[in-house]
Amino acid sequence: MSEEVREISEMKYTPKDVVDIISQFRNMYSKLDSKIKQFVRTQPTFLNEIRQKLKTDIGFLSPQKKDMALSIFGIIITEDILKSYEPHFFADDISSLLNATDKKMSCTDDEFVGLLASFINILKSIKKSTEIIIQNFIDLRKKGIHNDVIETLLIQRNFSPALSEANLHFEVGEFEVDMRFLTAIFAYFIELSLEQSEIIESAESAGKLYAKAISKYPISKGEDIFYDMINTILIEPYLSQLNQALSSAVEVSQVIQKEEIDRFEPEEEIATQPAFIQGRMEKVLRIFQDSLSKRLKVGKEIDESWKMQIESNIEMILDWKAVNEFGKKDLDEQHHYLRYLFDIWFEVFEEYPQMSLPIIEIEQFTKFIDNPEIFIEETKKAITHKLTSIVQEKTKDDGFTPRSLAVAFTSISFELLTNPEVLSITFGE
Amino acid sequence: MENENQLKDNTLSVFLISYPQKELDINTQIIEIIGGKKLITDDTIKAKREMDLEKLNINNLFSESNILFKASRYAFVNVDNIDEEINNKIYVLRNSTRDFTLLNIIIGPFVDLNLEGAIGEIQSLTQSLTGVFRRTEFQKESEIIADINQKIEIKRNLEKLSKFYNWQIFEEGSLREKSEDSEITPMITSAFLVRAQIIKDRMKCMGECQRIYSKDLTPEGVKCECGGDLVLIPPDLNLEEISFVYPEDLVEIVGENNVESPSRLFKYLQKSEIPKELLSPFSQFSVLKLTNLITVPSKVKFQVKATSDIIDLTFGYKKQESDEILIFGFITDTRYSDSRLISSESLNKIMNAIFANLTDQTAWEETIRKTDLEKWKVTPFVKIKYIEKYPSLLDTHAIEHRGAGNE
Repeated sequence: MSEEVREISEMKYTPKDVVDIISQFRNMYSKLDSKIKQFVRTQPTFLNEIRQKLKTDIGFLSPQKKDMALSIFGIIITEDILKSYEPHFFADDISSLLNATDKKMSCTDDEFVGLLASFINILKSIKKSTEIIIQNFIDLRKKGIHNDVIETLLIQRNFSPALSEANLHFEVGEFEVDMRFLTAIFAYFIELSLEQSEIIESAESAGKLYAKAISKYPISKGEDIFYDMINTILIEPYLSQLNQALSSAVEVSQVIQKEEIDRFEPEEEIATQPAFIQGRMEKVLRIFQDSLSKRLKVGKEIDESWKMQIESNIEMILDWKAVNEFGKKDLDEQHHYLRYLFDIWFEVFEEYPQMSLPIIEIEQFTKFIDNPEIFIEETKKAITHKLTSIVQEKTKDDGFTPRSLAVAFTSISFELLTNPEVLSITFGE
Repeated sequence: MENENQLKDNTLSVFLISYPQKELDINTQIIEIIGGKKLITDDTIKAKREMDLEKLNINNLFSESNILFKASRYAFVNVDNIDEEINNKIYVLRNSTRDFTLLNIIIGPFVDLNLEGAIGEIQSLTQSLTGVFRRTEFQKESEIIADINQKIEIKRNLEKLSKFYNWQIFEEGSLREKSEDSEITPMITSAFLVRAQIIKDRMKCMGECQRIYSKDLTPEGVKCECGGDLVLIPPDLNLEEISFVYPEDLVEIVGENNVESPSRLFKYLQKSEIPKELLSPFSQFSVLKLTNLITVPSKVKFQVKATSDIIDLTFGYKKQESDEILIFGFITDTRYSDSRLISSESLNKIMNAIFANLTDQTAWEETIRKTDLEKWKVTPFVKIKYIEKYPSLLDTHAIEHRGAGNE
């Protein structure tokens, strides 16, 4: 490896100078009108095709603005600003752009050109900054810094300055924009990159992501919300997926290397679960440990964020286990998911046997006290049986999907954790 | 790395935040103690100290005016052995926004926290928490969450942000050692020397009356008259006399409205002292051994509210016979750039000359004549209790003509 090692201080986003942003806007704005006219003149077939496709999606625009918007779509595609940009995505995005700038009800043609100029510049800018930030994330991970610190580093030194820069692209056109819209565009580019690494099936449009952001985050303005909003809209939903994408990138290269070696070496036993599943599992165990000790030592209650963390981690592990075994998500044979879930469950019981107490029969209690590990090993079947029926009850019509199982697991674990019997016993420490 | 870890374990960083709970018209306080593994090894002690700290009303510790307290560094002086070098330093940083007040106190064996950098980081931390506060406030109003969830969320984010802050100090080191990179070189606008008396061996009642007893008046036994327990409190300084040093044309340079009267200049010094209420919960951390140490400011930063200009105070001290200590200080200010003022770049040189030449109070004027401030005016010593009597620096010179009279 002849990789250049960067200092941590370099792993931040340095925003463009405001003077450059102003000239970029002026430049785009002054050219856009003639570019649009030229496009209308030279590409009538393309425009007609797209107009047919998006007939209803951009029905809210006046005929004049429709032509302008469609030409902009053409320009984005032909000038390679975005390589693959679905027309429907574009329609969503333009509609959200008008909402986010409060221009849906009234917008002069001049303003519309200005908005489109800002929009094109923003796409370019956020695409670039997301690439830089993802690279910074990769490099930060290599430094072995604690996850919490990486998250904050990403927010404070990367996404926040990039978001300020993005906002400037609108400010120089004298538009006030909903910060959640800009953040949603970041989310879109993150999703694109996750789509490329096959972590998610397909990215959603920035417009759709904006709608999601609005439902998640209630405030739209002010620099003071940057940290909290980025955390809510970008870090919490995507960081573990990005981690996963990067881990699988590392793994692919390891697999290739292994294949090379395998040609000369006899086949080994099938490897145990990949590192990222293991890592996830460790996280789940850590959450249990934290909550157990917190409840024991300080009597703290478990809150909603605990549930969310457990749920999302379990769902992810179930998905990965499926990918690991069958090479795909969304298995038709759902009983595999249940099998995976029990793998997880017994890992938890192995670590914290007291959590199985409410499930076993009271007569067996002393046996359990003598040697919980052996006891669990012996009564695995009975525990599985009992848990299966509880899980079935909880999932009901949903069947065994990673989601439904994760929810069931969390709710059962919550009941186990809050059970006084569990709390009355501590092993070892 | 091992050194860094040791430093981290021996450094205590405490965050205190206070924000209004509008419906109840009270303030909610959140405490976060991080690091200092070697200093607090026991969780129950930690919880107890947290409770002590929770009683502090941090909003009243530093009064807000047009000049805001931002950050300070303090050194410790052992009252029984003034020459002894005390490793620990104490840093106090403060920021407040409309809704939030945040105080960060760091006690640790290092001298190189970059105050400017740390101020910036504390500001960004406060801003981030304000965002969380604003969002949760909105959710509270829409009845999506309850008060307690708001507190939990703010606390959780404070934990995360303070971890990042600590990481910048100990692991990354970005908040240490760098030279203070102000864009404007501040100018020295005045200097002063204070004669102070050390008061030690005092006991404080931890019960209802909170009375402080001097050595001779301590009641028999370990109980106060009100029944409260008595504890030894850190020694203190009694500031007695002060002399100012200033350029003759000060009025012309800073303009009529900005001229500082003796009492206003003295206020800077007062505001630079570490608030006693703040120090007292820390002296309960017995490992810090604060009970025989005086806390002397070495650097204090204020910000002019309207213009964000920075006013710095830089201090040095010299011990005297018996329980007396001389504290000298310089005020630098980024608001003025007049050539009749002296640039703060000369500060080190001037400080060194004072350390070398100042023997006692009477040598003060003579010592100033040996520095870059040689042409500046030196006022006679004014008794601090009468300082209000002198409307301007010029008025203090009348003392000389009237003899030693301060009355």
